[in-house]
Amino acid sequence: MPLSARHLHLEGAYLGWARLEGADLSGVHLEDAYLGSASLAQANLSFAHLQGTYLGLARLEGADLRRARLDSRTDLSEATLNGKTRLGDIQWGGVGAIDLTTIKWERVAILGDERGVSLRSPTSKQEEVVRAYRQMATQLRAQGMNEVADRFLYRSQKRQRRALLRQGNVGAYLFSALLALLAGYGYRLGRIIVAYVLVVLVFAGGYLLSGGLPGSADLSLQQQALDAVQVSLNADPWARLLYPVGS
Amino acid sequence: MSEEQAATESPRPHPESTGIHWGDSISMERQQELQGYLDRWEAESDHGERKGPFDTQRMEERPLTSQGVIKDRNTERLNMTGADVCWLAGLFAPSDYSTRTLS
Repeated sequence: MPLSARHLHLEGAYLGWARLEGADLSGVHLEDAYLGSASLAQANLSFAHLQGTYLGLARLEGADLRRARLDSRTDLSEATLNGKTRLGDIQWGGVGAIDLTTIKWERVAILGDERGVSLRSPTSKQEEVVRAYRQMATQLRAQGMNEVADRFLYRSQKRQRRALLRQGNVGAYLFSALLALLAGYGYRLGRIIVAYVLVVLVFAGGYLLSGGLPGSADLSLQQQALDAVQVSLNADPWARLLYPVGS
Repeated sequence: MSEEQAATESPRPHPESTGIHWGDSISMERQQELQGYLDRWEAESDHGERKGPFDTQRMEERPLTSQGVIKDRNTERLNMTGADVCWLAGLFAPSDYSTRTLS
């Protein structure tokens, strides 16, 4: 029979440097316990009561913290997370209540919550992933960590798009895909410039192939190409604002 | 110890030996010690400031001896290992165990 520590009460216990890799600590009461430098890699801490728990320097790679209960006294200073750590639906005890600034978020490219959730997974699972990213982004933004928050929000949009496809909402999926392609949901604005240049060049190419203006056949190919780009730009209302015709 | 010897050694102790990792067994003496904490917790009518049977970090806040001497925190603190927690989890696992783990 698998062991479970669901009803185990370890409130205030001293577990510094404890080797708890892969431990099933689901629902365990660890309020005010000391888990400094403890190794909790791959541990199941879902539903765990971690109010006031000291987890400084704890190793939480691959740990499952979903629905764990934390509060402003919970200390995660320099805890180690990675892309397999699951953080969905954590009860944080308020927005920005816990200092997350000392965690090396560059090690967390994605949340572990999305692992095992494929396109074929139920919609509820897809939504859990989206929710996890948004929740983390909210916590991080409250502490001024906007770059990390933006990264997670971008990831949430991508996962949301997948959820839309799973739901069969093709229209919303295509619109979301268009937004991703053109601007990366606002987080990859360089794409809109690329798209703009491509549109101008495509129409310039079409204009060039159509023969251009009467009499332009006498011009060099280079001149014809420049004229085509000019005409394409003039047709663009945004370009007209910048370069009014006749100016 | 040579590198070759180190490489051939198992990273986990023999099941019958004691260890400090989750899943390792603990000695009978240690089991009795931990059981003592649980028994004392059950027997106490007033737990004082302590929040649980293993909350030894707060022992200095209340008199524990018959002479009313407040014991020092460092001498009373129980350092628990992963093996201790695993053993305790086995005690607390309900017979009608059903997983609540998230899939």
